[in-house]
Amino acid sequence: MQMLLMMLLGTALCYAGMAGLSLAMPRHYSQLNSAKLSAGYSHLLRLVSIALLVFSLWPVISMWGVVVGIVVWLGLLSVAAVLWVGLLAYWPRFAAAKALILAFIGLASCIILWLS
Amino acid sequence: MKQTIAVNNEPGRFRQAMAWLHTWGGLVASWALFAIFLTGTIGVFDDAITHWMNPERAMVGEFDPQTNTQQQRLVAVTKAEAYLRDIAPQSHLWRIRLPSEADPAIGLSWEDENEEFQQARLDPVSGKLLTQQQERETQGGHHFVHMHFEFHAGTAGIWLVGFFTMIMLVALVSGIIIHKRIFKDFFTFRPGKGQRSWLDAHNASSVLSLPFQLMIAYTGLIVFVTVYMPVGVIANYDHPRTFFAEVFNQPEHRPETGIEAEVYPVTELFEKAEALMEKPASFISVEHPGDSSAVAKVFGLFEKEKNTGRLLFLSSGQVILDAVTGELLHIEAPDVFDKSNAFAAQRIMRTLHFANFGGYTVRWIYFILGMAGTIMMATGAILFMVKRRQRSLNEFGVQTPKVYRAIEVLNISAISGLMVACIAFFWVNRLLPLEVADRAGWEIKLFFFIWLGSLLHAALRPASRAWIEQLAGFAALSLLLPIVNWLTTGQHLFHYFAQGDWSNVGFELTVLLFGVLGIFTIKILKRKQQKTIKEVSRVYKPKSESA
Repeated sequence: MQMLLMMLLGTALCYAGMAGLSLAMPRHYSQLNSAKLSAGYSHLLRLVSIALLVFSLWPVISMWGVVVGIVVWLGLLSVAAVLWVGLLAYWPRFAAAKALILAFIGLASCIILWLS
Repeated sequence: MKQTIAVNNEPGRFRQAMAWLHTWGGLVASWALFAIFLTGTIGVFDDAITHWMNPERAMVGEFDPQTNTQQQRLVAVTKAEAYLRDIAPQSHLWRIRLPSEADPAIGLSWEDENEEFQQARLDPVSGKLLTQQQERETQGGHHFVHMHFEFHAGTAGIWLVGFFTMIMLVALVSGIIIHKRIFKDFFTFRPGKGQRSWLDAHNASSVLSLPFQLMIAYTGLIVFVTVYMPVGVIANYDHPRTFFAEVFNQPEHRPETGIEAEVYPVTELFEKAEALMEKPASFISVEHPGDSSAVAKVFGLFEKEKNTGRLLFLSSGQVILDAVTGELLHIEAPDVFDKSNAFAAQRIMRTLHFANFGGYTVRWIYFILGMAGTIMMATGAILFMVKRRQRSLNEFGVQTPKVYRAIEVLNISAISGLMVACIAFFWVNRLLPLEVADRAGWEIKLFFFIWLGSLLHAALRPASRAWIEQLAGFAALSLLLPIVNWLTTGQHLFHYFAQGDWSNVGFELTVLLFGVLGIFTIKILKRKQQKTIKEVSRVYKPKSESA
């Protein structure tokens, strides 16, 4: 059970991170929003996304150890990116809303688990 | 000479050359690679598939490793030994696998007088041969694994798969070179835009899963490194067995002497080995029984938990005994790895390829990324034709339309035809009568016949119809599979739910999901075709009116 939860947590953070990285690109930002993406906002998105991806390492490594953890994490990154690209193409608003929710849930659970 | 150097220095020319390599190399290999990828991806769940394909197996008996005693194991070995001494006294090899959680029967295999492998399975309680009513004869999920690495063609198949895997590595690297906007298009997939969408799908599926694709192709080659690169062994060792003895850190394989000698009681060898390892054993083999060179190898029970989360598996323990005198020849202690670093590197890559280091979590990751690779192969092959359907590139002069037609037919049967054959394989498992001789062999033969049938169908029908008809066949076979299972075995999804048989629940739900995906694909293809028909009729209308 703990394995399943931690893996879901890792996938959620990877998904949110990948979503953020792609939305920091004008082409994908415009799929959601008619407003123009400002350079500052793009930088911020990119920073937050990279932070999310780094965070996503923690649940995976805590489950698998460093060596296998990194292997599994690389797999999760790809899986999350494939999921994101598929959803963005057909349901962009749903995909982005999901990314936002998962980012919050992911970070919140990380903090709770870390404190407890 | 000067000219060629100048040409080679032009980056545009280099990219063009790589594009040619990627297009044609990719096309020729894509049909085989699609098969390797699809069956390999399905094969990730080989045990779960074998479980579903053996609905009677659960009735043979439950096996509980916790209550398993040495007495029970010794009784099982005695029964197996009696059977083998009776049926195969003149064998080169006996193998006995004890009941396990995955399989409650005693599994036997041996080489007969014609040096062919035979198998039998015994009831763990009575020691009698299991009847077809107790257990259907099937290759199960191993069929997919064997398709994946050897096309059911032995060493020749292993070489073929290796050849195509090398082309895959070439295609991956050349693909990276010709992809001009790998980062700009990183997350790009624009559906409903014809050729553009196929290219997007091809790029996205390969770029997003690139680390996995490179890893799986390379480690796949490394699994068979001594097959693909035998020269190093030939040049440095008098005999491959010397090499393998060194690699495995074990005494050399003893060749047959031709001198008859009575086999030492196998049960006693087994008991002795367990005492030496200080742990339960699960497998014993006897090489050259009846010959004075006979050797017994006893393998300790593989403890999954000890190796979960490890890439380098620890030894489960192994004892090698002289099977004539019973004398100890070698002992490999359990829970250590006592072999060379080079061998450790090979083992780690093998584990990475086999996806058996992290339970279902890792298997699902491999399944999804394997499907991404399968999509990469399919979209690549389809893209080749989509590009040329609109405007012929005339590569083959007057023969071009014929070559294109042949490629289209091969595309259809290699992609949708194989999908149909894979799902039909499960139907065959349920519908083929249990009494058929060599039933497992027939399952595989029918798999190939159905695949061949799809080639015939593709050749006889117009391409756009053939795609849709085969995909419809795939979707129907997938969606109806649980019903066929219910009609033939009386087992169904709710039954599995109630029993807590999550492996079978997962199997049937996954099959249903693929049926639904098949229907979606048909819908997309139909919408696209209607659009094309509209466009064509719009173009031709004025003409017909004026005529």
